[in-house]
Amino acid sequence: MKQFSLILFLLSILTINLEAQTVENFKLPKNYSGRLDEILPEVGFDLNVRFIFDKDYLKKYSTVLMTDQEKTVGGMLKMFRASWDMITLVGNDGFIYIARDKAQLELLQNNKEIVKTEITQSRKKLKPVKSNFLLSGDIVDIENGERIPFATVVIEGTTKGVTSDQNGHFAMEKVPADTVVVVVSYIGYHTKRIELEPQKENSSLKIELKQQTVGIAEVFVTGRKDDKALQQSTITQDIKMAPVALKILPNIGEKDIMRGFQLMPGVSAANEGSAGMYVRGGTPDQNLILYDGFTVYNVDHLYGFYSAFNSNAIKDVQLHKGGFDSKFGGRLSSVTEITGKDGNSKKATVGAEISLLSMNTYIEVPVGDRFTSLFAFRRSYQGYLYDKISALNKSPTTSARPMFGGKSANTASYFYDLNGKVTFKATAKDVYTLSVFNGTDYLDNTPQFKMPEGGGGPPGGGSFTGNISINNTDFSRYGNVGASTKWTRKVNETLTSDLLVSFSDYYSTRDERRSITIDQNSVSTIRKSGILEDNNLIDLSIKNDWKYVYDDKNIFEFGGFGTLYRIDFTYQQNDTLTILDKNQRAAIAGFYLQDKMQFFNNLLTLTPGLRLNYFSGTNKVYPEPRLNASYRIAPKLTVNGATGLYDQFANRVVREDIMSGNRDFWILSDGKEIPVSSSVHFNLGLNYDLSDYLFSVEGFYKLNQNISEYSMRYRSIPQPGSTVQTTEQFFNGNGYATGVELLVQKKAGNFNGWICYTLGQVKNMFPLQSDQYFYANQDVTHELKMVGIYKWGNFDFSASWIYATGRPYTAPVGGYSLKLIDGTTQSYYAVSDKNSYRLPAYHRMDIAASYRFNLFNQRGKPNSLSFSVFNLYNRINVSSRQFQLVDYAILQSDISYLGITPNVTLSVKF
Amino acid sequence: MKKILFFTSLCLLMACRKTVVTGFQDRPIVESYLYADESPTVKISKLVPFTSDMDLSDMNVNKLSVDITDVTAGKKYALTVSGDGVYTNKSLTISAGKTYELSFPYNEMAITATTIVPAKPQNMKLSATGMAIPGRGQTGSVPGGDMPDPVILTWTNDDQGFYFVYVKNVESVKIPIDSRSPNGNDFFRNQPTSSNTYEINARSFQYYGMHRVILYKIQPEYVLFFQENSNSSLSISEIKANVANGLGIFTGISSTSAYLYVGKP
Repeated sequence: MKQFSLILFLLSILTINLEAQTVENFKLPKNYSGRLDEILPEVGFDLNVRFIFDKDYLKKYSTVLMTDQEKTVGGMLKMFRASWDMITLVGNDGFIYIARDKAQLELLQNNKEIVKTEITQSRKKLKPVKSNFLLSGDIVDIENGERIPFATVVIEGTTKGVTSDQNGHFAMEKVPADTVVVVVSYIGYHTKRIELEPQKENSSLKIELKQQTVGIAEVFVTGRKDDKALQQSTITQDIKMAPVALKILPNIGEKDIMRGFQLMPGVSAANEGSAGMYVRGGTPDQNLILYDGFTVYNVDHLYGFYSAFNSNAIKDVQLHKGGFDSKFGGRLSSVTEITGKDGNSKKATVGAEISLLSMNTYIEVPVGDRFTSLFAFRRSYQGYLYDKISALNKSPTTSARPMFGGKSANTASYFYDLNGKVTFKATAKDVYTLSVFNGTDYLDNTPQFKMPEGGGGPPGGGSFTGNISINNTDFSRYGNVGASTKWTRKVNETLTSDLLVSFSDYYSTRDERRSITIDQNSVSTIRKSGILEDNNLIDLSIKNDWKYVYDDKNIFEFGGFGTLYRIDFTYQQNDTLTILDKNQRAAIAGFYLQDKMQFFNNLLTLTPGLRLNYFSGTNKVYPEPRLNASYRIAPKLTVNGATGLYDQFANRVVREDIMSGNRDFWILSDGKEIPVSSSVHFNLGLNYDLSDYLFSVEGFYKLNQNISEYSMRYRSIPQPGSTVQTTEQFFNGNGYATGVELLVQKKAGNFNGWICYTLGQVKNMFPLQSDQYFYANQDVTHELKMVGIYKWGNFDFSASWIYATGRPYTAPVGGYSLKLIDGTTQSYYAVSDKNSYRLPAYHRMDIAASYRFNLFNQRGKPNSLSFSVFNLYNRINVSSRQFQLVDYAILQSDISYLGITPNVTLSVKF
Repeated sequence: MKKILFFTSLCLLMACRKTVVTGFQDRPIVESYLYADESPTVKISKLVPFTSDMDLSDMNVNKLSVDITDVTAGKKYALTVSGDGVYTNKSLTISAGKTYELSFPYNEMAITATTIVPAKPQNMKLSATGMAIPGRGQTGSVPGGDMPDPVILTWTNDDQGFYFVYVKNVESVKIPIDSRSPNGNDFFRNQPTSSNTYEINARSFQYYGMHRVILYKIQPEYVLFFQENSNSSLSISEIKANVANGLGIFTGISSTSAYLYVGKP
């Protein structure tokens, strides 16, 4: 080793994907002058790149680098080659080599690992002033001051590490010495390396991370980003997402966080008609969605083709696929934790996007040093994409609009969402936030008629004098409005608290009423018919979460929570006949405690926890023990596991409606008809994480009990005392979901991406229907997803291909007719065992190309023009089948999903 | 290591598998309404198979041993076929209040169904014997305007049983109320109800003249056949009424009736 007097400047430990075009295009942010061996580390630090060279060789040269002359890294290297005949190389490994000749270059390349160790050792020779001290700090975005949640903070060369909380704060007890190097990383950002200085008092750190404007793609989604240097074990089965990276991937007109997750293993992608996520065999309502702390009950826009979350307003999304922490409860399957942006604290910014589906605008305004605010608004317009998706989803009965008096039906439908957040940093220890979200769909197919007064007359002509107006209402409005206020208090560096008060209102109304108003001889008569359906859920919650870093072995999280539920559901016909009328009131309250414990030099992490829920609907207490564990078998090999009990008290059920399309509504468990459902999770995962590749295998088994299925028909013995149309029944039973997920991901390079495969099975049994297990509606046996991303200069190209086994369905095996006592003949079906048939396999390919560019002398190319094609080869994917019994034969027809659909999106930021 | 884990996981997965796929099963269709004071008629037919690979058995619907047992009296009656799967026994007269059981073997399965023949509806009353409805589709007429109040039909329903109202024009020459639609149905009905009242609305009538209003008492198993039937694989289902190992209906029905005259104002 000693024959090389090499100095390696490690300014970034993670392998940053630097490739010729992009690194060479990096602009020098300022002027530099001095010896090359001193300048280059500075350039490297400013641009977050790494130079490798022989210090003895470079110290002979001095220069002045002027931003107006050399401008870029590429220009600088070119100047080195021209002036001093040096050899430069931007390596695929992310290092920039500068050498005298080929031989030295080879030497540098071959010894970079050894040199790195040597450097680490040399720092260790520094004499620490303090040891076993508390290190704490806050992590923010260098550009806009956004607090960065869930960033990883580790001590280089050790297994010691913590994660920042939702407010970007971290505390690490017993840091061995104040000469260590702290490495901070967060998805979508350049990793930062901070060398602590022993001569200084280590007060609370303010760590500023820089967003990756290039090279984002390779870190698009993974909870297991390269931990070669971080040595951070994979402790949970989570997926993290940087919403900023979404624009690289293909989309159907909107970059969508839910669609992004659907490309990862364990989240089913074969359901275009649901923005909600089917995580590990769970249904969308078994996935808890928290937006800035409040629960969101509806995530669908436009029949579920888009989610209601505007990715421009979102900072961070965490999907906990199972075995989640005690902090979360009330759902069986998974948790999606969404953190909205605080807003730029350094300058006002405005951005806008337009696609073939919607217009999207956001504004971030700081007021003084303490206030930040963000407002984002998105609204669809009735263009080609909106109409195309609407047409797919119209039921046959609603597509036939009445014609009357020569006027055709007038339709007006749209969706919008609104995000607003105001943050007030009252003191260094107190932060107050107010966050508001509203996502609403309004589908209106209402035709409006008014007969002219006097001479017009009703159809058929005549001399009627008067005024008749007919209102054929046909609209649906559904959505979710929610708000939360949060007080974040840093009691001290190791004890923090969040107090959150929130409100969430889910509403869904369908009005298909017809009213005829007749004004004749000063008498007004109104006649109404049709149906009105209305579901309203109000959730008022309070939560108090505490985090206490007790020592380097124990981090406690504990807190209390309470929710008041009010759910109303009415279903009326003809203004008078109320068919269903439910009014539920209930409360859930409880507390939780968990301790994240570390053993064996942090190789083993155990997180036992307990959540206690009291549910007033059943007047019972539901204890939920939880356990998470991870063990680092070898530096690159980690095994993790989790188990726990999870209960669900509020359920979304589907009311089948043959004539007008199925409708969802939320309902609370009552302990009788609808029992409280529960699930036990068993998860086991193994990750082999190399610098450029990740190999992962994860298995899960979930035992679900007391799950419910709702039916308004299919009742074997109707109960006297009810109108027959209201016949409704909950089928209750048990089931399980199990599967294995494989992921191979190439994390770096011009070309990167991943292949994942999920083998799964979900079965349920409802004893009232049958004593045998049947495949649940969401069962998908095989699911294969491939995502490839290629970067070329300012272009990003991507393609994804999805294959999934067709979903199960029930088909008629035969038909028959009966003559009823009114003399009419009706057709009926004999059906197969439930879900014993499979739809054809689902597969499709999407592609996208995105070009990044600057406007008005901007830095970092924040604007983009993206073109994507959904379902490139126009695969006809079947969503369901329709049957018809005609003349002693059963005819089958397929209802299909979206065909080939191109889209263009322009995104501009000011 | 990975391979081992994957293999182990696969084995675990397979161990959980309980395959349930049942193909087509040839089940007979029963259609039989038992009216008090009448002889029983039972029609047995075969399913229309969905696809040609679903083979029906060679059971002949005209060669079955069909019995009806008067469970109350403990007496069994054999039915004889009169063609097209229709079985009768003139020597048996159905009585209200009695329980009857249908049984016959089919493909080595015992097809059975039991029903109780209800008593006649009690105290059926109409609030009026006639109704005056203005003509529609003619000069000066108003759609939906100037309609008379509905006639209220009431009956006694102490046990909250199911009833079904059927109104039929009994004139030999039909005079339409709306001159533009001369071919409308000459009958209308309600959905089965467990109420004790029904509003006969003027707008339901298509023709002038005498109407017979029949009030049926029906059994719960029959109510199922009046529900909307889904045609979609998302929600298709089979009506499981009271025919064990078969499909269709075997149910007791009783009725009573009154007359209502619809005239011009």
